[in-house]
Amino acid sequence: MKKSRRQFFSMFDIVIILVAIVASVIALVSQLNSNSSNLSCVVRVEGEVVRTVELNPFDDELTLYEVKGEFPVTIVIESDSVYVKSASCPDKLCEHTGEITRAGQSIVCLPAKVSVTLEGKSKNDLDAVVG
Amino acid sequence: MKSKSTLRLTQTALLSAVALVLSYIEMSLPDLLFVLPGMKLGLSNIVTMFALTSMSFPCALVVCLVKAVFALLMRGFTAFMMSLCGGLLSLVAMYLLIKFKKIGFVGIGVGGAFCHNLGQILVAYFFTDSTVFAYFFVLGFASVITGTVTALAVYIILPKVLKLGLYQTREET
Repeated sequence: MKKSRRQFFSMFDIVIILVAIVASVIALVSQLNSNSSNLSCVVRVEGEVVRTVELNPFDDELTLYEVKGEFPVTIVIESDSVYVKSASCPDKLCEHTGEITRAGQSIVCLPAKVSVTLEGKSKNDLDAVVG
Repeated sequence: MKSKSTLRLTQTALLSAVALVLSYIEMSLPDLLFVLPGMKLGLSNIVTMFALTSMSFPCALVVCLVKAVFALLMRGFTAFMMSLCGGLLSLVAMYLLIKFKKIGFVGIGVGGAFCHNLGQILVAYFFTDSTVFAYFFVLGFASVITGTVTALAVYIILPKVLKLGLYQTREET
């Protein structure tokens, strides 16, 4: 039983940990929007934008938005936050995510293939927003 | 050893069972314990890593597939895809890392956990859009912690199980 036992921790492990951390930070930076003063809430189903709502100036006719489909999802949009009020999917992760308030944050409901993202407007240089 | 294949079969079945129990325990844990909804400790990764370090790639692959089918039965198709892709990617990563004798248990565990999360995020991206990558920041950091926990568990359990003398293992570990 004379085996050269593998070490629990070696110098190479530090490299692996660093790679993991750097990759995470890159993922974060790639999703950060610089400007969070002009928030808009973007709802996507299967990657397609189905609804964009400006948060300021706030259009208060659209406080409730329902995504229909196999798992209907009800999204509440307020002037400073967005949250999923109810979802009919089995895991309810999107409900538990709670409110999102800053650009770059998102709520994802995988079973319903729905994502709700807050985006800073400065990133996509639209001249005007209609509707 | 006359019945090597029987032993292998039994051990794989045993490990699969342990993986399922750990998955189930993890499923029942409340979400509040963790920073992000859907974030898990990855307890059953301990079994995958254990199978890989003590037995063989095919054995760990079977454990992985059994876990994925369990996810399909318990939580539906989305969970199945997440479990399958995460599991396979993490398995391949750990298999490659184990080839390097200088890499310690922590390296294997963290590499495996990281790739598990990567696989899941890729599935999530496939189902939705690039917003899921924002999650990856937290998940990536979490994999360093969960991977270390996994590695620690395997590091403690492995020699104890080998000492029992009942367990058929390949020579190099």
